[in-house]
Amino acid sequence: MLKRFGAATPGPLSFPIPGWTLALDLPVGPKALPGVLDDLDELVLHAGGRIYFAKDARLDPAKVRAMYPRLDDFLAVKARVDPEHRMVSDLALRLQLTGK
Amino acid sequence: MENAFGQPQSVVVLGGSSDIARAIVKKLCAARAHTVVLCGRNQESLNVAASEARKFGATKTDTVLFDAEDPSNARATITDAFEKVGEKVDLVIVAVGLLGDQATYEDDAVLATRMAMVNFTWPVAALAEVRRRLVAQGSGRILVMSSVAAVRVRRNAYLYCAAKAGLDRLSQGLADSLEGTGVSLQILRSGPVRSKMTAGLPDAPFATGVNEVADNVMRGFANGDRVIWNPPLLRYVFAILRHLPAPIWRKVSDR
Repeated sequence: MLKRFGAATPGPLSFPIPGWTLALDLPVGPKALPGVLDDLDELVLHAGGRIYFAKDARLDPAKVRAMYPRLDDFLAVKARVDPEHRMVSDLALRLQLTGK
Repeated sequence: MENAFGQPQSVVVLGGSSDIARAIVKKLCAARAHTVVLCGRNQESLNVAASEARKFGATKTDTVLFDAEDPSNARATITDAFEKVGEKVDLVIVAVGLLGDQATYEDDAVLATRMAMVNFTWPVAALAEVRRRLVAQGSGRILVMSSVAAVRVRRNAYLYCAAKAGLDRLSQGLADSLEGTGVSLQILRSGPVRSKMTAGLPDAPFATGVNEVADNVMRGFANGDRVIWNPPLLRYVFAILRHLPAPIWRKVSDR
């Protein structure tokens, strides 16, 4: 599926960037798939793009900061409103978004 | 937290210097694993395995020493390992095992017990504590190294095979008990593997290298297979072998 996006909203983790997104459904199974998807992430990163957190299941946490340059703004807000790190999700743990 | 391909970020290995475990850990670290805690009986081999893990991408490694002949230490060993991980544990690999020398052990009560202790009793004790902790955290995966030896016991290694058979059956029940908890258990039934455990023995039929085992385990993690066979063909071979009449099985298994 192709979608055309406009500009981001002021939220520090806003996903849109002016341009297109392409969504493809791929079955889990082929041995090479995890590596191929990591390579595709590199392409997206070099093109100035990013992965949509709400639909991610396997992004390398090391790539998050480059994809979301305002991550520290988000973590600063989180540190202020949730100093004891009570708000956490599996996604946040996997992508190291907890600020812990 | 592991991803959709079953690639964990934090791993505890019981039997951390096992050649098969090391091959698996290398692949896990090349994927997403950043924290690896290796438990075993020899500090030097654990250090070698730990530096290997770091070479393949782990950023935090640690080790725990334990003696698998004494099940009373299992709980403390698991506690220590989980504390050293310091976050949710995504994967626990149970790779403790001793092939032993059947001919020397079979008529010796102490040595025969030792085989049961290392291959069955200690893993059972460890799994009880691993189960408790993973269920409490609500997620995690366990890989138990069984063997095709568990499917049908051979006379030339019945102490090892029988202990593995016990562990394999226990793991099946344990896996069923975990349904709905967020925790899962997978059983690796491998054929003969060329490793230090089998060094000096002639190459058996269907023998594979450790990397092939690790590849099949990775695929099993992604697919969530209850039983991971290595090589996969052995699933069908043993479907037949387990039903052979005893006299024929003795001939086949002596090979």
